[in-house]
Amino acid sequence: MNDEELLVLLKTDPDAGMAKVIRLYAGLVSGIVRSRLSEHCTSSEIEDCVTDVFIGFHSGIRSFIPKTSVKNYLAVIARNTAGMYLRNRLKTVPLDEGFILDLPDEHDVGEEVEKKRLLDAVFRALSAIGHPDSDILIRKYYFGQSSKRIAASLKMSVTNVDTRSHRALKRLKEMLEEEE
Amino acid sequence: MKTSLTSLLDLADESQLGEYVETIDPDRVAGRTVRRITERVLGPGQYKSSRPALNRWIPAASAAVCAIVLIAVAVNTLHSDPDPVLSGVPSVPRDSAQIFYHDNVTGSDPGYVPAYSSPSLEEIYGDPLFGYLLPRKLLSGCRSYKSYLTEEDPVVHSRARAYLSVSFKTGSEPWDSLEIKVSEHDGAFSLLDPNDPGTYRLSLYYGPEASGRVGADRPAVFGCFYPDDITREIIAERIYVFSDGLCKAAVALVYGDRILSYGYTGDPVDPDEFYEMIVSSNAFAEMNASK
Repeated sequence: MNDEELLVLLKTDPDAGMAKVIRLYAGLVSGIVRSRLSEHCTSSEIEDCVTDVFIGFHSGIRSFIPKTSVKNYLAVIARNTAGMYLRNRLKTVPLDEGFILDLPDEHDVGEEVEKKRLLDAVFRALSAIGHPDSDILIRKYYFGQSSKRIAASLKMSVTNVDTRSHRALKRLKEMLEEEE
Repeated sequence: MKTSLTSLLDLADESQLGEYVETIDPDRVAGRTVRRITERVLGPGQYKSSRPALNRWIPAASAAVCAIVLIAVAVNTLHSDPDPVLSGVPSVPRDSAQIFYHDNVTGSDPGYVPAYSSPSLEEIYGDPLFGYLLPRKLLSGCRSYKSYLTEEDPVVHSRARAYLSVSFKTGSEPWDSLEIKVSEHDGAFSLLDPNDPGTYRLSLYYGPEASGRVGADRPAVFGCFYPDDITREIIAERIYVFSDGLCKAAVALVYGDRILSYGYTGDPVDPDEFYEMIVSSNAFAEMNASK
């Protein structure tokens, strides 16, 4: 079933459509959530988070404007929902265990614009770095995957992943400096 | 404005991430988990299996057969010889799992990337960045404890420096340990005069207050040297035994753009053994061979 058919089903029979979405993407969402939370949360909390991702998708489906695929849309919700779980979890850790809370600064429009500009530059640089190094960086720093998991997915050794990641980070830094 | 790569990527939208999401491979999720999630999202009774009944028990039976075969293989493996370790990797008992834990990363310090790996000894010794610097001969009684490999965040730091830490337990007390750390550096450690002890001092490492030891008679500092200058006598000078019997040793070596440090805490250690460990790295051997 492609996205178009899925969206039609979601519109005509929301429950059947949603059940289909869960069946198709439970593995993807679970993989993304697990990568971010496995160090900090129990299996049951991870499943709660996966459920929240689909609830979020379900409640937002009416406003979903497909500028990209359902898969991408769900991946971003999964990653952000897992981030929220992680922040809540870290907030419960007492300060005397060495954690520093990352509290948001005052809202600053200028800073937001600057970050957006920097983000665009990062994606241009990633595109120039190319595959598989750019995939490694996104998997590590966006999806929070471990080197071991990346190595298994990309059929590389863990050492190779770490070396490539290290070199790609250096290149990214250089390219960002050149842009400035 | 300071921001980390991860928090910057938080702002990315799905259209920017599209091509990367396509390569993410899904987890295997059991049918009963999908059922639970579906019923939690849509309500009880909303899950309908997509497979006819016959198709459901055939995979289950296959899985059971596979499980039996796997158990047989595992039992056979347990009774066979252990896998050989890579040449040159110290034979260290691994009586505890490779555990990763690092305050700088599990917290929210934006200076380090949140992704990390906890490599095995084989992987550490095979690491092209750092493996050649690590000692091939460790202190007797060392047991593999934990390891950690990461990079500094390139958006925060001027260089994305890699950093490796590997720790061994050396005794039964919680503080009995040997920590070996290797990191890249940016040339900030210029040891102008190796004969002047003042230039060796890198940073305060263990003081009586920091170690929590009452009656410690002298603080220790990280002695920082070029490998050429290292002698058994210098190593002996870096080993401190406090008045309550606790021993600490701290020494760092500058190899080009790498800095390698050893931190030992525990029972008094033999200076000869500590020296033998430090000079057992491939880097030391190559350096001596080229003289």
